[in-house]
Amino acid sequence: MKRYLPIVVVVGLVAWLGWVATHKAPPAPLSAPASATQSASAESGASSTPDGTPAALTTVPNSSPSGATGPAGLPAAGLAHPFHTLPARKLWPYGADAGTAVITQNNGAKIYSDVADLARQLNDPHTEPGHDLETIQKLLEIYRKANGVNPTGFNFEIVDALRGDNPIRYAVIPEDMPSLNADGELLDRWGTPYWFHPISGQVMDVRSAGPDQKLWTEDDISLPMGYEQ
Amino acid sequence: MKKHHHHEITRRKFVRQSACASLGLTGLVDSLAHFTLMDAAMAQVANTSPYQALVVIFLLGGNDANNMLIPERDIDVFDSNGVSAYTNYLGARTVNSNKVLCFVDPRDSSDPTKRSLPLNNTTTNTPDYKYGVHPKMPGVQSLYNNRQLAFVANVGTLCVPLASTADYQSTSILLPKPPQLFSHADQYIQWQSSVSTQPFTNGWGGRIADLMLAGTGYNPSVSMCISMAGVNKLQVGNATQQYCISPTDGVTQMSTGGGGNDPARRQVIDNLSKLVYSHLMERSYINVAQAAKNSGDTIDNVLSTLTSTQNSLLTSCFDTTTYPDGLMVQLQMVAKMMLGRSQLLGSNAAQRQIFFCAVSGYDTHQNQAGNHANLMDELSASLLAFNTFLNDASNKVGNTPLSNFVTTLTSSDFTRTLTPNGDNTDTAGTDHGWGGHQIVMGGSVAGGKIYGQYPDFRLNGGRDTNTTNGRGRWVPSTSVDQYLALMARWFGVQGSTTYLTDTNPNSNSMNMILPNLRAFDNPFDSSTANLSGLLPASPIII
Repeated sequence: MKRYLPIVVVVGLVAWLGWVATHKAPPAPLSAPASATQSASAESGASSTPDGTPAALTTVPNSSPSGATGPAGLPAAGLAHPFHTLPARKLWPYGADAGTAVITQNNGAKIYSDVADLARQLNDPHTEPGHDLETIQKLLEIYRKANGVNPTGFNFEIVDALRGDNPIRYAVIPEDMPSLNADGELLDRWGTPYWFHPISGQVMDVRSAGPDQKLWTEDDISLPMGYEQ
Repeated sequence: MKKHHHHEITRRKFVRQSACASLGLTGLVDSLAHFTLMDAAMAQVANTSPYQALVVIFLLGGNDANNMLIPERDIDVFDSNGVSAYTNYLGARTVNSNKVLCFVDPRDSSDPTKRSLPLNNTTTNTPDYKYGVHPKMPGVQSLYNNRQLAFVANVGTLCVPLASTADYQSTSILLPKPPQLFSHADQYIQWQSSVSTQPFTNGWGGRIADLMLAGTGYNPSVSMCISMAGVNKLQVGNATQQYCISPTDGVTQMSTGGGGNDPARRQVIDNLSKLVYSHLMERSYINVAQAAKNSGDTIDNVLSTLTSTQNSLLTSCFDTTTYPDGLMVQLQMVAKMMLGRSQLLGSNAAQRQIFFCAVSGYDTHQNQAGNHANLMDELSASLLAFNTFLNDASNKVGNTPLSNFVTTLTSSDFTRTLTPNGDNTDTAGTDHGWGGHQIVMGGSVAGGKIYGQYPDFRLNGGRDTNTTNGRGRWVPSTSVDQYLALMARWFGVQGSTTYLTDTNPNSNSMNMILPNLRAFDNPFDSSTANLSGLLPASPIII
């Protein structure tokens, strides 16, 4: 019987994982009722959503809490996947200052105020166009830190994920993000949708069509990704 | 002193490792059943099976199969609104009046560059104008019409069957999707592992080779898995190590840096291999070096002993002047390896080879009209050349053409969006899609037919992944597992019509090779899969 002990342990572990996976909380719909967000307490740096509904804020404590509460003040109970928890802010490459607000958006997703501010820097006329692509890569990196992999698909699908339609309901683009068109696509500073090229779970090529608003012309702007097919 | 063969694999070990590898949530029950049957592992298989080879051509970057196998005016595939696939195709691929990336029925066009090449009706042997191929693929048209080549429509990575847009968009845990769809690297790996439900551990070709090795217990002189395109995932096995060779030069032997073959360094390897090592890592290290040297010598010998007749045949079949690199050269080297198979495999090994070729450039986001035409031209000409070689009278096995023992199949990351990403005929391209059509070629293939389910090309519904802003990304109707199951069974992997319920590794090794196959319709006899008959089962079961 002793030789079967490892098998029994493995089977037990797998059964437990299966139980956890099948009992996870289903993700809330993106269009969560406004009342749900308004029930949270609002603190410093209050902002409003495009329709005027106040966004719910909490403040990031000085150190990441533990126990039943998720990192950076996010409630662990709402997380959809046992393996997907928000990383501690101290591990993040951008923002992470104490006092950063956690905003619960109308769609139910949460976003850090400094990450939202980073996203709003897109298409700032005081910066070079290449800065926009660097900003998008930073946002993708933050997204990856939380979700493990890049979002994938067309522009509007990637933007949906960046706005919080992802397993842990964590947004890196705020609801009141400018530069989105009616189809939910992220636009460059000339009003053309960015072109997203999913290369792998960790690498995303992003391209702007440039001033002539046509892709694959000489004025296109992209960052070298070291990838060739 | 007891002799250890740490790198070898036995059939018993293969079964055990495969069962453990398949241990996951979905395979739990069956894996437990496998545990109980391990002690009844199969008897050693005889090595008397006839030679067979699989040649995989991977189209790197995502081949626009919508631009390869094209609906014509009389196609009888309609969407739920009664609109034909041809009409949907024209609508999606035409931008303004430019007809971007659009080919039409030859009866409709006066421009020969825009005419698809019609495929024959299987019964009448005349064009029925239902399907055509890219204008640059006369070779493929000819092979199809001569029943040497078939298409399998809308194949892609899947975890479970997905029937519609709604299934794709469902968040139900009962309808999982392959992770990182539309991403090159991830889909490349999933196509080559065939297991979209778990992280990569090994490739389907490597697993088959492991099974063959376990069947004979004999390591061939050169690996059963030979790559013409560098290291790949498909040929990664537990015991099998892929052997990569140059399609132009074969093997680059050890040298001191100035080229050539350095006898001193070769002697050092020989001497080191004769020493006694107490540390397993040291032993393994020198074993790898020695095996590489021996394999290189064997391949060098194969290449240097080709007869003038064989060289003439290779030169006449493969036009390496027009196509000096790429697939034509790779398939020519595959042909050379087949000519030298007796040296490479030896008499005691399973008489099987798995070749991997790959062609880049298929990620046609821009300038697709010209670039993809060149790729289709190369693919078509290379397949025709390879088939000509395989059917040459000098290559018979007994009285049977070599082509009956070789099956060539294509794979690609994904196909591409039906709608182009621009309105300029010259510069527009297409973006990442999902399910696409694949080619299967060989003497055993029941060719002249399109297997699987051809899409109706309806945007924002049907099998499009989106309900709004859809661009024609098809939810696959045939999984990679089903597609490969036909190849694996033809190659000797045991898979019967009862494989769905047969979890006994003694009678069914298909589940070891394609552990997720049971999630789908039986490809061997199901009418809905529409795959049965593509390839017969191997007379020799491994």
